[in-house]
Amino acid sequence: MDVERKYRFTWEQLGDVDLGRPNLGPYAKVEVYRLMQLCVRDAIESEYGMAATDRIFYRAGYLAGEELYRNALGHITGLKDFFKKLQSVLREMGIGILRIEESDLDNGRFVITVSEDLDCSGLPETGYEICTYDEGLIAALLNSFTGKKFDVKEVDCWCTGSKACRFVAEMSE
Amino acid sequence: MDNCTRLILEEMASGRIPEAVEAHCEYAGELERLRAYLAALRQFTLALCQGDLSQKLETYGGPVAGSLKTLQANLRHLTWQTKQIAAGDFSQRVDFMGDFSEAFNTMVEKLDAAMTNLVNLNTRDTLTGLYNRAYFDAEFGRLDHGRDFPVSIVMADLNGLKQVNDRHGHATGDVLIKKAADILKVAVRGGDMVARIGGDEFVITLPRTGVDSANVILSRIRACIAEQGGTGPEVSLAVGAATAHYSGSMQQALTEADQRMYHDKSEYKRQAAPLSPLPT
Ligand SMILES: [Zn+2]
Repeated sequence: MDVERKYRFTWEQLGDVDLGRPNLGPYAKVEVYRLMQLCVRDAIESEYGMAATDRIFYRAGYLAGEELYRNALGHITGLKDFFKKLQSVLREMGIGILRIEESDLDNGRFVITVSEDLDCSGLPETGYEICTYDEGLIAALLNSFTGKKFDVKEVDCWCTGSKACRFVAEMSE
Repeated sequence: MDNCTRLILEEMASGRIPEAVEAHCEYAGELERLRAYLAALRQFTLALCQGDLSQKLETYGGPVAGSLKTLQANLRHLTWQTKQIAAGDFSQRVDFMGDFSEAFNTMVEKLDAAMTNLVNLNTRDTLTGLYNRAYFDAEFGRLDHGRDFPVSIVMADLNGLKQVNDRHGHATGDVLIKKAADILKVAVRGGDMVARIGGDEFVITLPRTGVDSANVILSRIRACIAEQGGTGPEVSLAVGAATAHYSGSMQQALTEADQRMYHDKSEYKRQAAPLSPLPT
């Protein structure tokens, strides 16, 4: 689609944090991250509705997942190594604690949970899963690693009463 | 409140779950939903108690169902971790099950230490700490079918071990073998493998190493031999190298390296260098 754009995201856009924040350093409060994400979602939803917003967040998460895979995970030697590196990157960056329930590469099915999720842990119970961005992110990570397309669905979330987000990933081709 | 509704509420308040809610009761719809919810929780919990982790509670949310689902997810993750450990991944640690975590992690650490010990016993030469013949054979086969070509091989044979053993005893001979092993260990790189495959025979595999780089390593070994210090018998090694360029050609390279090593050895014998005197 030919639309006017300010940018196409690249990892370099994250900038030189050390240079830019000599006093404040690399961390910000989780509330600040959520404030932005929840307000961005609110604004997009009020203009484009729920379904379109879900698609946009999934897509944004997907883009983030691809970039994260390329720039943060390093050289990966196999499935075991993939999960190991992913676990440590997600923990170090404060995104969440990744645990694997099921990993079946041959049949293209994974069930994973993310505890203390950056997006939703501790949010009020609303009865719907909210981590659409994470769904996209996980889909991109699996896609980048396996070369196969994955659909990811969050089946349990802090917002539905669980104490961890649970994602089911299934190969879609 | 009608009698039917009161009876059902009393039954639930005492911890029982009624089989059904009669349609003519007041709030029959709400009561039926509550009953179905409790019945689903009962079924899910019962399954958990019996070790069945495959049940789903998808349509129900809320803190009770949510916590039960989290417990199930944790137990499923624990199962996955245990499978990983069974497959040899001793880096798995549990951090979500209180006292059990600590006990489990200690078990894994001990298992890891015991396995390392066992593996060392079976793969290492006790005198030098180098890999042994059995490990070399396995690794050789793996490399021959692998993707690390070109693979270079260095054969090294200790000169004069028999004479040292005969003249000064086996303890001194062992010192000589250990010194030779140390020289080879220092001369190679991180991913290279040094093995002792016979009394005075050593072999080194150099993955992703072509002829030129192999010659560099060979010179380094010779330099280390020339620069050796310390007391005890002086190490002299006959060496030969060859390079395998594709899968299936490792045996050929090994034979070539062996021939070159023998050529080097005959030079040593031809020069008939007398054995260095031992410090008295
Ligand atoms: Zn969530």
